[in-house]
Amino acid sequence: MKVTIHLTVNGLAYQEEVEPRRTLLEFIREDLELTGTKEGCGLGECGTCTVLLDGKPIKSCITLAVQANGREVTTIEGIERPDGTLHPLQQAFIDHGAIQCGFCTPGMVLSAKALLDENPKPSELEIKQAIAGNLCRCTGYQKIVEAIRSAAEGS
Amino acid sequence: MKNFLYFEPTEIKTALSLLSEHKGKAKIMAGGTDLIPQMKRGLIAPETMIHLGKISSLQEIQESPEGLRVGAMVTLGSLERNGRVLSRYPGLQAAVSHVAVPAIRNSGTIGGNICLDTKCIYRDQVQTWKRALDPCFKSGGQRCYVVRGSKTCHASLAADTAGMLFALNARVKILSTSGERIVSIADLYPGNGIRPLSLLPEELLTEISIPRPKPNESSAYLRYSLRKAIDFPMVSAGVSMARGNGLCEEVRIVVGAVAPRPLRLTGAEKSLEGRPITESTLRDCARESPREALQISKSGRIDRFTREMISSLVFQALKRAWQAESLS
Amino acid sequence: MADFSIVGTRYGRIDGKDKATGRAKYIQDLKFPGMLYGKILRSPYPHARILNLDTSRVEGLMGVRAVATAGDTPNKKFGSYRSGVKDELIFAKDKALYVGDEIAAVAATDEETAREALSLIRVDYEELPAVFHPEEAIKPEAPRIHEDAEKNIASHALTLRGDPDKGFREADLVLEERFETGLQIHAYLEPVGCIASWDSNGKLTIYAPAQNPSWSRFIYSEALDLPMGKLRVIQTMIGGAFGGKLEQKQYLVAAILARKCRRPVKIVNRRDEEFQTSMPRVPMVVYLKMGVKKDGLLTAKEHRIYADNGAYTKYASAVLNLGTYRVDGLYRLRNIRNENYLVYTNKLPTSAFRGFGNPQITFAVESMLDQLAEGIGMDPLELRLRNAAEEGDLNAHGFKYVSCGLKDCLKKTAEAIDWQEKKKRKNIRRGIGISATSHVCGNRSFFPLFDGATAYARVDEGGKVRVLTGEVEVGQGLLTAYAAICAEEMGIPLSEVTVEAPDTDIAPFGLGTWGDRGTFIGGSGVKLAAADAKRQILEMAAEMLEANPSDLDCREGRVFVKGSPQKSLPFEEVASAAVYRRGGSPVFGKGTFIPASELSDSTRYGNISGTYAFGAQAAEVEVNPETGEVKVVRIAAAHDVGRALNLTTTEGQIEGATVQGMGYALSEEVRYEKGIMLSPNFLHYRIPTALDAPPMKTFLVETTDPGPFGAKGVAEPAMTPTAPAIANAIYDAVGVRIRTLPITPQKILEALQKKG
Repeated sequence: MKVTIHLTVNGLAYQEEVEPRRTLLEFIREDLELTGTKEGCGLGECGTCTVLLDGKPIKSCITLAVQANGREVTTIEGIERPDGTLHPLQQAFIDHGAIQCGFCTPGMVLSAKALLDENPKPSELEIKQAIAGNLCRCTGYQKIVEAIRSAAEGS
Repeated sequence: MKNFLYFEPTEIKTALSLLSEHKGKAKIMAGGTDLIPQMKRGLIAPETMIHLGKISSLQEIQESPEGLRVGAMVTLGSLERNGRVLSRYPGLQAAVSHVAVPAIRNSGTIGGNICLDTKCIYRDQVQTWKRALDPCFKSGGQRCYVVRGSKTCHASLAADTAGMLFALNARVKILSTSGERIVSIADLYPGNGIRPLSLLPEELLTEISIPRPKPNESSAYLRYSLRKAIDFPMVSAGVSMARGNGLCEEVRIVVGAVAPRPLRLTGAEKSLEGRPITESTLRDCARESPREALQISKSGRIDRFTREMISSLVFQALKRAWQAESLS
Repeated sequence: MADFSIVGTRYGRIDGKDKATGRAKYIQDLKFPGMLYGKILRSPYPHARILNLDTSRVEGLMGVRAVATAGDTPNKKFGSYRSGVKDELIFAKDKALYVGDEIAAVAATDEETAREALSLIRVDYEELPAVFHPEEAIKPEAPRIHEDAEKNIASHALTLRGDPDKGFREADLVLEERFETGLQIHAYLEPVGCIASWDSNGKLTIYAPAQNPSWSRFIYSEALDLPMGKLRVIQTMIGGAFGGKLEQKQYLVAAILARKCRRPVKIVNRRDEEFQTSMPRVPMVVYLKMGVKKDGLLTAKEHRIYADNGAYTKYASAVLNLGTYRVDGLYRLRNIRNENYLVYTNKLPTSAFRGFGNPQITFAVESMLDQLAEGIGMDPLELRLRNAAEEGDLNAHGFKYVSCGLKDCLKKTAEAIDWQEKKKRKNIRRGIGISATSHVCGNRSFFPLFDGATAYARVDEGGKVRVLTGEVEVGQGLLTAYAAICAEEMGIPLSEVTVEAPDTDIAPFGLGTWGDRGTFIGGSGVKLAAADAKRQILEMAAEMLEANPSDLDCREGRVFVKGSPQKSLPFEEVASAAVYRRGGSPVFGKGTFIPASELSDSTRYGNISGTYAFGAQAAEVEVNPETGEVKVVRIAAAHDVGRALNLTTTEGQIEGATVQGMGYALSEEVRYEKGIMLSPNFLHYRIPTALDAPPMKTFLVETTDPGPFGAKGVAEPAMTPTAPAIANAIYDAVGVRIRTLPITPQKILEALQKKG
């Protein structure tokens, strides 16, 4: 049995039919072919599948597509400006060495974006709490925190 | 995941009749942050899912002179961000903000956390790999791996909010097509690791009510896990204390995550109530807590290390509740 | 300080924009028309005879296009390169040797069908007794895992240098201890995956996040009975590797399936599968004996290691027999006896992981060093400085330390952690500890045919330069380093250079990313290729400017006459002239770097690396004596990197490695029950989160080194000193020494209670 869902993804409206068991991650990666959002573990434990749902980070691999019905989804592809200019967080990540292998980066940037949208001048502890659910094995987090702080200061 | 029938009722009564109709083959879905992983691991495969996300009456928060009423579908994240409402319940604020990670809290609900299944590393395995391991009690088998030779299941009720709400004297409203019952949250947890909730299959938990604390009352929650995020607690301590004139008027101490139910330590409470509070009386009380926890639960999880943790966390929670400012 | 415009600064990664915007494509993002999805059936038992394998029920399932078992393979045993042992098959045939062993596989039109098909394969097993610890497996009564390995010993080696017995006699204090380290899983965030595809002429292409695309083909060639010329590996963007993405059995299975159904087949590990079948750090039991004189001179060292090979031999033998030697040169030991046993167990095969044996042995040696210091009443830092290696040393194993910043590293970290002050004022809960390390930058022993790297620098008619290398970017910033080296050497802006990930059909034969060799060796090749391309450009410019090539130079994208810089041309103009005037041939610079390393002899003596990297770390911890909880307050790390080509990426390597080291020390533990991993997920396998990572201060100690622009390696050594520094700090705080990793609160509490 399929369910019709209406949702907005990166500002574009979609109407699709999905099986209830389809996860939002599968929908984003396979149906919409937006592969910037990653699958790292499939159980909601690593954070690489993080997207924003109505502006708040969630784990798309353990969220059903039907849960996004009537809501707004933002993926990593949706935060650069239409003219291709990077979001200040993306630029800060590049400038501060917060990217190594890059696999955690999309989820990490989105968690940071949600933080700064709600709390433009976070403390270092608040930054770490915001990205606590995004695992990184490469960087040791220090430069990620610096990048987020720098983007916050720049704004 | 296997396919399932999916319903998204907009009213409670529809949800209840669906539950009753599908007699035990239906699962309630709140945020899905525990349900979906369990399904992906192959541990459960409901034929029907009843998602409560569209029932707006379940997402309300109401304050009154009697206390706080929180709809079961209020997300942990929105509760966490509601500092004003939670200012009277610092222990609950702490418990909520310690659950997992922010992204889980944005989907996960207070009702979902209260009704969280018990956790155990031996049970929560992807099914492909279990063939060589005889199933444990919770998986339908005949043994427990936490306590070898035990006749009972020692899975842990690891939900952060359960114990804290117990310490805050919370009650829950449970609805079904046959009616409504309101019980103390403690009655929800019979202490059975395999089936940790006393909810019947056709019942739905809809609301949590917390009595308004007295002006001299405060609460605190601490938990221990190896990492500072993601992990379930291994031990937790929730305290609610009313203080006056340097005395402990009333206190409730609940230790969580060490047994299939949260453990209220009435003995420890009595040792403090009516007595003057000093750091040393709190320490003495905390030191006796592990023994009482073990005595009332007989839980195999309470080993030497856990006992030290119980003592340490109970002391810190007591101290924090004692030293907190009074409410206006 | 030489005048560099790019090298030594903080230029941004050349792949940063793709990664920050989600454009970067990893193997899981790739899809080809007609592609099928493969899934592998794995043994649920740690040790079992395979009595019967029945795939008949699968064939009828709609959507299944191929089923593969041992009968579809050449059934030739193969092994990791140069391990000397060939004990693996693509599919287990008679016996399954660990939970996860590949038994069969299916390819289907979608993943769900493939999964269902697996459940229809009937396998009858006869469970056999299994053994899980090397000290158990080596007992005569232990079950035999491989028929030809008596006492389950995969390898045994004994190395003797100097006269250890005399050294121990001369010592004033001799200590003997047992240390044990456990499995550490790489836990890179990108799961292993591949797409295998055969063309109509029987040539196989594997798309995969491979750390060693060129030479992994040796193993695939042997396993598939396919000539190397029919094997192409195209390296896809890698989402973290740390040594775990060398050869993969999965690629062979995909190849077999793809051949059977004549369609491309994609397999990606599910995360629990990833944990269960990855090739983790080799656990080691180390019996260590060391002697020291009253004045602090170390006199002798003896180790006997029982290393856990797992069920098959991958790189554990190299880890054990090469990786556990580097620590010996750290403190100028001359009297050494090293005895290494590599033992099979019925667990997942162990292999290479950042540090390659060094973290394991260094944990033991550096813990014992503190014990020795206490025993003779000497400050642990002073004991280390007393014995520390220096530039010009030739160590007992024949390593030539052409540059060495060890003492500087030790002093810098000690200063950063306030060593002198903290040692004077004792806080009962806080402690500090220090540790050092030494590492190779490449390893001649690995590939006897050559050690070194070749690169090409191809300049097109638009003046854009493309570097072709056989070395691999795993996230460490290698491609960016190469682009910087090339741009610096040629005198053009960084933006004009791109670096291609290796496609083995096109790239030079590269030894790959391991052994800390990427910058030192690979980068040197790039520098030579860039120099060659520049020479050709200057020759062309000489014609155009009517000058002598030796009078010309290039800076910031302009070729000019030294002495009359107003006589100049833009680089692109020279490049296009060069291309068009030579019949369309791009300017092709070629460079090969062969380091001054040598093959070791049969006793493993020899200067196997062109240079060696050094480092030290100090940790401050706070321990709760009531519960054993440890908080790492801060870490200071100083690493001798020669010259840092890019300050940001170099620091990033150290910071990332340190946090891995902290996880190794305190929280990463694999739990087992009857050979079944109970923790194959990120919930129970606890890698540090952002809230767990401690504040870190990094110092880059620069020495004069033969590497490209003076650079050495840093990625691997940076993980090694962390765990011993933390262990030493814990002892300093509460007086208990834990000799097994991870150091959990439970272990500390138990030790405190025993102490009384």
